[in-house]
Amino acid sequence: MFIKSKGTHISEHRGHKEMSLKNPYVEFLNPSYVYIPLVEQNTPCDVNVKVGDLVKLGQIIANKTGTFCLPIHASVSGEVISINEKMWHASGKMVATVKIKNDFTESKCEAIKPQAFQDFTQEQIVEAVFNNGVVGLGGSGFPTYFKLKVKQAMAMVIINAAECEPYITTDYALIKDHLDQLIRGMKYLMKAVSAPKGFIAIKENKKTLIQKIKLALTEEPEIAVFELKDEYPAGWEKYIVQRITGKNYHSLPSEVGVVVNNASTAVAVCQAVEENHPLIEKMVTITGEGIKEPTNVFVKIGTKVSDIIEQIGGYADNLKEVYFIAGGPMTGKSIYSDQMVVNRSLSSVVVMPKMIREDNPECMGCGKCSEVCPVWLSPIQIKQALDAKNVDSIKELKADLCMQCGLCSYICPSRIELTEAVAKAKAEVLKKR
Amino acid sequence: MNDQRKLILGKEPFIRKADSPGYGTKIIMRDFILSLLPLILFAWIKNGLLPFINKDITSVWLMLYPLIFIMMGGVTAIIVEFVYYKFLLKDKNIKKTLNNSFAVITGLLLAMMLSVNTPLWVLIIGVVFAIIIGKLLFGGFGHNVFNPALIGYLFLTAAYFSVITAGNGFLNASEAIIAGATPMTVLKQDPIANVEVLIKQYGLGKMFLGFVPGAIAETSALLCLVAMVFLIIRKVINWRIPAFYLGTVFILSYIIGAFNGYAGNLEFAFFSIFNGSLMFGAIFMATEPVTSPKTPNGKIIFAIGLGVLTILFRFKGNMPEGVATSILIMNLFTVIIDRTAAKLRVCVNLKKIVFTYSLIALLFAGISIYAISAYTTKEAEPVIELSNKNQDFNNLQFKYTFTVDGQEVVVTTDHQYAISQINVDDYNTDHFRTLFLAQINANKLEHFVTGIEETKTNLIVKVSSQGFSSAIITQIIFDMDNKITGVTVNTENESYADDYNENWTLTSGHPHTVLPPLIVANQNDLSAVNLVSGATVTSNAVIKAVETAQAYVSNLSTNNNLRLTGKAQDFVTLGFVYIFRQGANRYVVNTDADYVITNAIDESLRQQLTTLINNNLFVNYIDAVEKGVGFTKLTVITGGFSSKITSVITFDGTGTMIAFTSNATNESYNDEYNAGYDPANGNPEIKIPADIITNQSDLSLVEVVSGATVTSRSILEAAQIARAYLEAQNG
Repeated sequence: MFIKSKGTHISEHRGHKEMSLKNPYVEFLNPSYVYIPLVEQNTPCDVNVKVGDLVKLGQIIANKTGTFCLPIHASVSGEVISINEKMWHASGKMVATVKIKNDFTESKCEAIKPQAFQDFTQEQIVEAVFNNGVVGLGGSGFPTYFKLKVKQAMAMVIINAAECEPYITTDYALIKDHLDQLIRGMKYLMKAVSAPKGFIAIKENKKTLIQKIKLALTEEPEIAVFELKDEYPAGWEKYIVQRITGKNYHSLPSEVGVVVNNASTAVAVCQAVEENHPLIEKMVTITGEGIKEPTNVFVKIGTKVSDIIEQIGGYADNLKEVYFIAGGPMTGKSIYSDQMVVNRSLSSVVVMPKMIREDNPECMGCGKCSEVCPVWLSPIQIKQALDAKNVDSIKELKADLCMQCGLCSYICPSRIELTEAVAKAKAEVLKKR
Repeated sequence: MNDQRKLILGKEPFIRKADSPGYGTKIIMRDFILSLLPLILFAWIKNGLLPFINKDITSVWLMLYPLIFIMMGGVTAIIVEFVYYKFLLKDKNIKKTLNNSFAVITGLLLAMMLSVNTPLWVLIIGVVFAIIIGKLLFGGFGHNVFNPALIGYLFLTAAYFSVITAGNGFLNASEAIIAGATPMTVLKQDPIANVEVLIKQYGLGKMFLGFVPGAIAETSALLCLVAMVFLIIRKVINWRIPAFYLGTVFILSYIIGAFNGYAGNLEFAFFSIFNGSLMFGAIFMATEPVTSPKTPNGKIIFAIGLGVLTILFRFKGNMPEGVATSILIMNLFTVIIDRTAAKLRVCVNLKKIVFTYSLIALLFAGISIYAISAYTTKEAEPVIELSNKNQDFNNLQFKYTFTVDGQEVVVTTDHQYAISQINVDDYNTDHFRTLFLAQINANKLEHFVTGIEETKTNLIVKVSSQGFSSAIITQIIFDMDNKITGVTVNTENESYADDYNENWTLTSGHPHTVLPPLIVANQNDLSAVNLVSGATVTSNAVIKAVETAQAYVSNLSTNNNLRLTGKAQDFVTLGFVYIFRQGANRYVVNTDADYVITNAIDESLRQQLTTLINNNLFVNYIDAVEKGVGFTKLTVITGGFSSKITSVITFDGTGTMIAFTSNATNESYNDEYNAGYDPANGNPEIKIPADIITNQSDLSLVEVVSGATVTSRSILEAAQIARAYLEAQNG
C-alpha cells in the first residue's frame, strides 16, 4: 500500500507481439453486414431505429442509458435488417445487436460535418468527445467525455501507450502511423482538463517508436515521453500514475490531478474534435498461433470476427483445440464461438492453442503469487480461505482489491487456478456489501 | 472456421509461465537437488576420499560410505512413499503421485545431517519415520506442517543418539586422530571463551571451507553459499529467508562478541555463521517452501524469529541442536505469521501496521535481550579467594577452601586435581568449576601422602613432595610407637648432580644417603637436620615429606572410618593377615587360606571385617608348599590378563631355583584380536620361566614377551613371591 508499485517480466521474447507486426496493418472496411452491439459496459441501450430503416454512416441509432450515457452510431450506411440479432460479444455473452446490411455507399449523415473551429474551447472539446461516442479504447470502453468532466484543473494528462499484454499490438500499429493525431488529440485532452503538462507512457523496448515520438515532440515542450519498464502490468493505470507522479490514488486518478487515456483513444479524440468523426471503426489485432497470418486490421465497429479472420487468410492449418480470446491472454475472455462482433472496447482477438497440461502437483508454498501481485494480495491464502468458505478472512485479505491481471495464475509453478479463485472471492466480498 | 468443436472455453489467464519447459514445480525441485550435489561431493571427499588417501581408512567400502549413505537416504525415502501409496492407499497412478511428491529430497537432507559413523539401519529408520510421520500422515506433499527431514533428525537424536555418536561420532577417521570433538560440542562448554580456542585450533578459513568435524555434508559454508546463489538466481528459494536468518544471527553474535572482547572485530560473528550447520539449515531447511511462510513480509518475520531462537538456544539453552529446533518451532508459527502478514500487506490503516510490526519487533527484541543478557552485562565475576589448601588425612583427598562472595566453599579433588566434590551446590556449576580449577592448578599441593602400607610391625607412609625439578617420593617407616625407624628416598630425577650445579660435589653426599639417618636421629626436631649443600631444595623437600608423614601419623587416631591399612600372606599358615584401623584401634586379623577369620572377635565387628576382607582378596599368593629333603616346591597363584596363572617353582636346599613351570592356558594373549602377539616371540608360559631361572639373581633382566606383557609380568610376580617366601623362611 505504501510501497512502490511493481510488475513482473513476462517473457515477450517468444515473438508474441512480433507475430502480428510482420506486415503492416490491413484495412477491412467493407463488410457485408455489421452488427452494432446494443450493450456497452453491461448497460443496455435504447434503440432509435427499427427494422427496415435506412441509416446513414455515423447516424445515431441507439443511446446508452444510465449515468454514463453515450450515443451509438451506425458504422456503415444501409438497411436495418434486425434490431435484435444475437451475436457473441467480448463480454463472453450473447448480446442483441442491430444488424445493418451494408450498401457500400459510405454516405455520411449530416451530423458528421467537420466543424470549423480554430481554437476549440474546453466545452467544445468535451461536447465533441461526447457526441462522437468516444470511449476508452484500451479495453475499458469507459465514456471518455465523463473523464474530462473534472471539477478542477488537472496537473497532467498521461497517454497510456504501454500495451503490456502479450500478443496485442493495436495501439502500436495505430499510433505508428498517426503520431500527429495522437499528439494533437493529447493536446485537446490537456486543454479539456486545463492540464499544463502531458506524458506519453510507453515501454522502453519500443526504441524506434520512442525516437519518432521524441522527434515529433520537439515542437511540444509541455509533452514528454516517459519510458516504462518492460514488465506486466505496466499498462495498469495505478502503476503508471505511481511511476510518473509518485502518488497513489484510491479509485480515480483525478484524485491526484491526473487524467489517463489510452493512446488509441487520444487519436479518436483528435478525429472527434477536428473532423467530428464518430467512433465507428478501430484497429484490432487478430493474432495467435491459431491464425494463419496474424496482423492488425482496421475494421468497422460491428464487423463479425469470423469474417475478418476469413479476410486475412483464415485459421492456421492443423488446428487442434484452441481458445478464442477476446482481449489479451492475461485478462481476456474466452468466447464460445467466432460469431463474435467487434465492439468499441475490443482491442484484440487471440486464437491460441490450449497447452497440454500434465497433472500438476499441489501448492508447494513458494509464495510467488504473493510476490508478484501488483496490489499486494496473497492469492493462495485467498484461495484457501475461499475453499474454507471463510468470508471474514477473505474480506480481511482484501480480495476486492484484485485488479484481475492474471499474474498469480501465470506465475504459479503448480498451475493452480488462482486468478479464478480470487475473482470468486472478490465476488463474495462484493456480494455481501 | 465453422467447426465449433475446436473452440474451447477457459478462464483467463490463458498463458502460464509453467507452460514453458524451463519452469514449474518439478523443475524447481530438480534444481534444488542439483544444488545439493556440490555438498554431497564434498562430503565424499572430506569423509571418504581424503581419509582413504591418507590411509586413515583402508577399505573401499568405508571410502565410498558417505556417498552410499546419502544415496541410501534418498532411495529409502522413495521406497517408503512407494509402499505407502501403492499398498496402503491403493493409489492407481503411482508414478504420477511419486513424481509429484519429491520424497528423495527429504531422504537426502536427513542423510546429510547425520554423522559419517551412523550405521545404515539408523538412517533407514530415520527416513521411514521422517517420511511417514513428518510428511505422509499430514497428507503428503504440500500438507506437512514440519520439515520432514528435521522431524526425522530430531527423532534420531532423541532415540539413537548413542548410536550416531558411537565410535568416532561426528568425527571421521582422519579427524578422530587430530581433534577431540566437533566445534559445537566444544562450544557448548563455554560459548564465549571457547570461540577463541576453536578459532585458534581451526582458523576461520577452514570453517568457511568446511574442513572441521561435523555432520557428513553440512560443514562447508562456502558450498552452501554457492548453492544459495544458484538457488536464488534460479528462483528456487526466496532470498529473504537466508538473508534475514543469517543476518540476524550475525548481528546478534556480533553484539555478544562486542561485549566480550571482539568489539570492532567480526570474528565472533563470522564464527557463529560458519559453524553449527547454520548455513545448511538457513539455506536448505528453513527455506522449505511448504513449511515456511508464503508472503514476502511473512518470510522476513519468520527468518528473524529463526535467528533470535537460534541465538537463544546457543547461548542460553542446553539443547544440543539449536538450528533444527528453531526451525521446527518456527514451522509451528508459519500459518499465523502468513495470515497476519497477508493482512498487513493490504491494510490501509497505518496505525495498525505500525502497531503490529512493533509488537513483533518487541517480542523478538525481548527474546534476544534475554538470550544475550548473560553475556553482555559484565557482572562482576564473583571474587574467589583461596583461603586454605591441605590434604584430608582421613581419605587422602585434597581439600581446597575458597571464599566466594563471603561464603566458604570446600572443593575436594583427587591426586590428579580432578574435582570430586563441591560442598555448596550453588557453586557446583561448569562455570565455577572452571574458575576453581584455575586457582587449584596454580596452587598445587607441594607435599602430600600418596598412600600407606601397614605390616604387623610397621606403618609405611609414602609422601610425594616437590623437589627442585621433580616430585620426590619418600617412604617413612614408623614402628608401632609412631617412631620413625627408617626413611627411603628416590631423588633420581632431581638435578643437583648436574654439571651446571657447581655447589654440589660428591663430598656433599647424596641427599638420599645422607639425610635418612639424620632424620631418624632428629625426628623430634627436624630443624636440626643439616641440609645437603648444593641440594638444599631437594633436602628441604625430603624433610617436608617427613613432616607430612608425622602429621599424618598423629592424625591416625582421629579417623573413625574402619579401613584396611595393610595385608600380607602369612607364609607360616599360608593364610592371610589383614590389618585394620578405626580411630585409635588397630586390628590385626588372621584368616585361614579360605579367608575365614581365626581371631576371636565380637560378631558385629567380625561382620564388618569379613565384608572388607571379601572386598580385598589376594590376587597373588602361595597356594601350597611342599617341603622335602633338599627341596622346596611352591605353588603360586598370580592374576594374569584374564585368568589365574598357576606356577610351580622348585628350589633346592641352597635356595637356587631349579624348576619353574607355569600354566597360563586360560590367558588370551594368543587370541585373534590380540594383534600384538606373534607366536614366533615365544610362549610366555615356557619362555618366561626359563628366563627367570637363567636370570634368577637379577630378575630385571627378564624381558617380557611382547603382546603378552601382562601374562609375562604375572609369571615374574610369582617368582618374586616365591623368593619372598624363601627369604622369610631363612631370615
